Amino acid sequence: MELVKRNTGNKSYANLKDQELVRMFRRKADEYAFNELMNRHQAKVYSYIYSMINNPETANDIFQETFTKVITKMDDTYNEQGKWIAWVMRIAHNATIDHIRKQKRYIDVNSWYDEEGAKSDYFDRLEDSSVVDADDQMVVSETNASLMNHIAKLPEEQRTVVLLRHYYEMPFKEIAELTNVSINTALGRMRYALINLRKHFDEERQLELKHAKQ
Amino acid sequence: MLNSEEGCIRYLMREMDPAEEIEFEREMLNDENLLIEVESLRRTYQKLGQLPLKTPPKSIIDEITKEAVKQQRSRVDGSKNLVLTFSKAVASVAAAVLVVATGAYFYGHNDVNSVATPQTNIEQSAQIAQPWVDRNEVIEFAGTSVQNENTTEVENERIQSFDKLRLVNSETGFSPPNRKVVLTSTSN
Repeated sequence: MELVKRNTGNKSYANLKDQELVRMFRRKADEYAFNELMNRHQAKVYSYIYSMINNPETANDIFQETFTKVITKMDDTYNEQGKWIAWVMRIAHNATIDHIRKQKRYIDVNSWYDEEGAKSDYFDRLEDSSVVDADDQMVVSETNASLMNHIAKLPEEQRTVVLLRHYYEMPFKEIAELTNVSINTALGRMRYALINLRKHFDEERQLELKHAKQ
Repeated sequence: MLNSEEGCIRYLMREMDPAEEIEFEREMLNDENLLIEVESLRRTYQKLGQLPLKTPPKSIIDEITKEAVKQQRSRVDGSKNLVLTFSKAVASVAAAVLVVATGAYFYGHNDVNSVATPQTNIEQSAQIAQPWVDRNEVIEFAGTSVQNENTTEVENERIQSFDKLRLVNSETGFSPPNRKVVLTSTSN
């Protein structure tokens, strides 16, 4: 999907830093400054939420909820010394995790009625249709869909670290702060995520080879 | 020696400083399994580069922007009104304080002028210039002279006091005691 860029009115806005744009928006309610901020970061914030949730409708809701909080809290909570996008990401991350935990709680309660009696992760229990829906709406390649699927299978903590690192190239120090763990724990989660992904890729390859032989 | 498990990921994620990197590369050269593990993880990590960038629907972005600008404008207008009201209040208080201070100043100034008496002036002068008489019975003054009648009287008194002075033979003012022997005799 092509990135929809909004009019910023003046080319010089592109040369301004985030902090300057935020200041302009806060002091003058400058619409172009806000548009420029959105142009820069909307895709990354949305991709992070989408990849964590793997459902477009829910991702839309969380994205909107995130920015509603951003707008409401910008004057009170955001300190202009810090990176604006890191602050926005914290809100997006918290909103996403809140949603996942609510869903988990719901599924955990229902899992008592599971015939097999085994409790499982939210993403383990996701029906294939959600992925298929996502594929229908977003024209993505088979590889991308498979990759998203593998990412979705990762435990929440590992998925968070992988996506924050991928979409934001966030240093592990910041990831650790955002997720309230030590740097070593964050690095460890990244390592286990890569090991798990490698396992999923290998299984996929084995399956493909099996199909090819048949 | 670095912990290999931790080292692998720190090396791949470029979280090592140059010295640590060199040490870890040496370690990989000596340990083939470690090298294979790092390369395997690197290949897996590279696949993440294919993760797609998703964009939110335009309608949502429009709605967010509209709401953001609306809320921020009302906030900015609100703060402007608050500043204006506050400025007016401050200006009113300042004007009131100025009027009261000016009134008090003029009232106090007239009061001082009307109350001041010659006696007070004398006392003030006396405080400024205190005369005293030294060992040579000369009147001395300290401080500046005050131009009024009383000062003139004192000044006259001081000048008259010079009449009491006597010439001194010695420049130092020191006269040794007379040691002349006076011979006396009896009529024996």
